[in-house]
Amino acid sequence: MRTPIFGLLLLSAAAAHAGEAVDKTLDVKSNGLVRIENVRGEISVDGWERDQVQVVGTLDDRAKSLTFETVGATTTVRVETPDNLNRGEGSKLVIHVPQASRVRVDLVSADLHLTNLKGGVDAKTVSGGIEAADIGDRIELATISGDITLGRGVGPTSFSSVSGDIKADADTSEIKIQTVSGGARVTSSARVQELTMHSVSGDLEVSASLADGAHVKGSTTSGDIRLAINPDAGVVVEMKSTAGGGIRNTLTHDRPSRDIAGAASLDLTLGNGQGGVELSTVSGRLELGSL
Amino acid sequence: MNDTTSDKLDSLIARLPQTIEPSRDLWPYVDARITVRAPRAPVWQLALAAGIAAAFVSALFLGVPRESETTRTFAYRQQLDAAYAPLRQASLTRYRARADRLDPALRRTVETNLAIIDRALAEIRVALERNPDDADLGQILKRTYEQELAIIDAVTPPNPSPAPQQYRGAL
Repeated sequence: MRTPIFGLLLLSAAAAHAGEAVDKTLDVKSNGLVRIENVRGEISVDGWERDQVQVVGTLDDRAKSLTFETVGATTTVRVETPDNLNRGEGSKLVIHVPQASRVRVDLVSADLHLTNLKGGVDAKTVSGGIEAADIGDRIELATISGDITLGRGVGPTSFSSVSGDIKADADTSEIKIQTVSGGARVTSSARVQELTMHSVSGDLEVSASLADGAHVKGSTTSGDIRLAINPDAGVVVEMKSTAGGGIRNTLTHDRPSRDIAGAASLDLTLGNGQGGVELSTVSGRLELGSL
Repeated sequence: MNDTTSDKLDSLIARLPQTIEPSRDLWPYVDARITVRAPRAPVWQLALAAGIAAAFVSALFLGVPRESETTRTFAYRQQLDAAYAPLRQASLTRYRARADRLDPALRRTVETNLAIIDRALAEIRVALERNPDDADLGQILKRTYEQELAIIDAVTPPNPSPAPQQYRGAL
């Protein structure tokens, strides 16, 4: 007779006092979802070998409660605080999770550190920074005013920032970058298949080998884009800038043309031309170079 | 209709009373309907505007029957502006209503970047005036609108709640 399988239900909700030290552990599934929500302070999420989630540190001075519970495959760590947080210190927590967990983090005015997470990360903080290393599967990192730093990221990666700068060394075939005034400097050690980037006034710089049939699309208004790729890539390159912008090509001997109104364009084909690179700018500069 | 029939109708109409009192007081009913419907209007309008924006942008980039490129692209820009206008208006109104609750440093960052976006939108429009056939500029315009809405949603979400999950999906 088969034993009926019921969803694992472990529930541990703890009332917490403001500024209280916390050290709690729950048994969880090795590849479940861990959701973390906190308003301010500093949060570190670190993957480890155990099938447990552990929360260690101190809660926000104005914390109303800590929710720490596991329901089925989802573990929640949530620090509840009042709306008005104009005094006191924020939470300082180190949260260990199973390495294969998917991790979702929502912070407001808090810095975030992510390390050793292999099951995918979706992290957002409004005014804090994000530092991540050795993370993988599917990565989404977003801030408004904080900087994003990623080291050794594996898997499709999406960066979004308003004024913060993005610096990343990835090992991924899919990259998406979006900024307003923030800059980005991204490299990938893997051959890139899909790259999209958009900035309003920030400068974007990407260095990566392109895979066969790769698609690259980038645009800015007043920011610059510098793309360094492998000379043996097989792509059709189309670059356009309006008057006031410019195009520079150091990858081949092709030179951009400029019309009577001052708009510049450069079209060229590399290798078999199976893929495409489309870069456009309103008044910024576009540069195509070699790795 | 012949003249005889027309005369009969005129005669019948002339005999109708000038006013008719309703069998019951309708104003409470009318008032209730207005009260119930009023809050729905902005959502409905925004949804319609969003739908028009999405359909329009999809049609633009997936391909539509073409008139002259210049006419089409000019019309596109006007329609894109018109489609996003109510969304922007609603977002900016919401932002202004709640901006004083934001952390001052964050507020400065947001407003600096909204100003950057505003200048960029103006710059893109000028570029579109000069290059009305340039579909890439249309895409840049659309993405820039989207970024502006995303920033406002991130800091002043459409459905506010005290929990920080309100920020999910905003960027």
